[in-house]
Amino acid sequence: MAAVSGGTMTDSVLAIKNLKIFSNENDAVIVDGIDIDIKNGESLGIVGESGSGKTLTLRSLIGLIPEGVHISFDDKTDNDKIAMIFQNPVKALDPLYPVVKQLREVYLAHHGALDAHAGRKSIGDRFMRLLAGEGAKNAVGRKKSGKEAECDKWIKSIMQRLSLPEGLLEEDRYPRSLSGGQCQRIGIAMALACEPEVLLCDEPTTALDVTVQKQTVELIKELQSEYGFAIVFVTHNLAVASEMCDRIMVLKNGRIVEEGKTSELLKDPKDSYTKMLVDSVLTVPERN
Amino acid sequence: MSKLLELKNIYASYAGAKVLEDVSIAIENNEILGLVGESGSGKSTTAKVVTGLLKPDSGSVVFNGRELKGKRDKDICRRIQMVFQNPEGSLNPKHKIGEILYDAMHFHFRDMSRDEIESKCLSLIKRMELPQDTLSRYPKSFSGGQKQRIALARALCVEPELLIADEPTSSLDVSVQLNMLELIKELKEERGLGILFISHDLGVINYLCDNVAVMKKGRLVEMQSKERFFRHPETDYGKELLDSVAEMKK
Repeated sequence: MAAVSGGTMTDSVLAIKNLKIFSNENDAVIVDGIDIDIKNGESLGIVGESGSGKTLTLRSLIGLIPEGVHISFDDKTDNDKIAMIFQNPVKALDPLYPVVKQLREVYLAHHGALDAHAGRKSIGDRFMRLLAGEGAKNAVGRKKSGKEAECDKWIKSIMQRLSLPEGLLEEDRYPRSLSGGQCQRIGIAMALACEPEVLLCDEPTTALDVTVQKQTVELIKELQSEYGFAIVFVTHNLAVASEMCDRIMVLKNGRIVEEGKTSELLKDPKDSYTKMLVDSVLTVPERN
Repeated sequence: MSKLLELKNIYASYAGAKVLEDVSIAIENNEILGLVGESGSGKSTTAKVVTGLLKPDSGSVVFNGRELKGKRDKDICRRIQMVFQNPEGSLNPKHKIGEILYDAMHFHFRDMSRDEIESKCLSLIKRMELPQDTLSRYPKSFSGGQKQRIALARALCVEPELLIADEPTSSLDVSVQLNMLELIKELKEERGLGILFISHDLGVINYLCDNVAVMKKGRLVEMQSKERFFRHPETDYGKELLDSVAEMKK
């Protein structure tokens, strides 16, 4: 995979320097001068408690900044091959649109083949087409374009890879009728449709059951080694971060308190806040 | 001594869909029973049956040796209290904390004077390590962890014998969670409370509970002491749950 090169940051795929996020209301600093530099294929964990600014930091990497805040930074390597998966997998999908159709839309849009027929049709659109005499053509047996056939093939293979029920291909379903874990895998498939170089993960396992959590973490790890994308993984759970990430960055009140290789940081935390976080993790005893 | 609470062969359903099948659990005074399982396994439904919010189709709920049938009297309601997962949703946003606690206590202790209630409230918030001016503030001015302490204070102010805690710490940060769990443990010892603690987090269960009951698809799959469960789970499902816990790789 070709890394985007930008001056001094040669094998980094995404970097931002001195990121600051302010509240619009009173210009209070929420995130205060964070440097992030993600190398090709690595996984970085951003750990912190509520209000530490971890999610805002992640969102500013992809430009999904919520209302009410604005950001500033000194330098940023631009990379448009970034995808993201979210904490609440059911809400991340459109509730009024069946899931495979959503996945197809993402794939086609990303491969530049989303035309008026494949895309969403407003009633106005449909009416205009009827007037133009295109109704019949649209209704049955419109010939699929090459891209669409390719898309069908890709969807079939990715659904197999992610162990999503094959029945969805024949009978598409709405997000509400799938489990949380299945919705998260649809979300992951959508992210993969964009062929990302960086996958941003915002607590993707927090809303899932423990057994499903484990499967999802393992799936993301496997996909990373197959596709070679880099990961930025935001979580409040140090144990999950320790399984997932090569490098961990600990945030508190919008500042980095400690950063380092996962094993070193967890074994020998330098900062008292990191130490407190490590000590707060409740584990289960070893079995014999 | 009879058990504080016993559920015997409970079957329950929502609009015809079976959610609990043959569930039997027991809790004694000064004991924390952890109820674990995945979403939809029937943990919260079990709590509903204990509090009387859901009437079981068959089976019996025995509290202090007395079977609870039909409408529960006020005293039973006082003796079984509950704390919920979402602290925001369980406190009236338009009432000051003082009113929230006063209403609960005044309802159950009709003879108690206002001054007496107030001094009890003050000592309770002090015990909960809440700020001194708590009583005159509204819920929105507190953090999530503080709100959950207030919810706990509201449940404990009427001096229950059995406390049901439905994932009370899962919306909290890890460090705040640890403080809250310590507090629950201490309060159990001080008051001899029996606690039914529902959680999907096995780390929390291991830290807090004396005994563990595992549920799956509306059935109780195993129930035993914490030590035995974490060392030698009896069922495959228990093993699977334990294997899924994320470990700190140091």
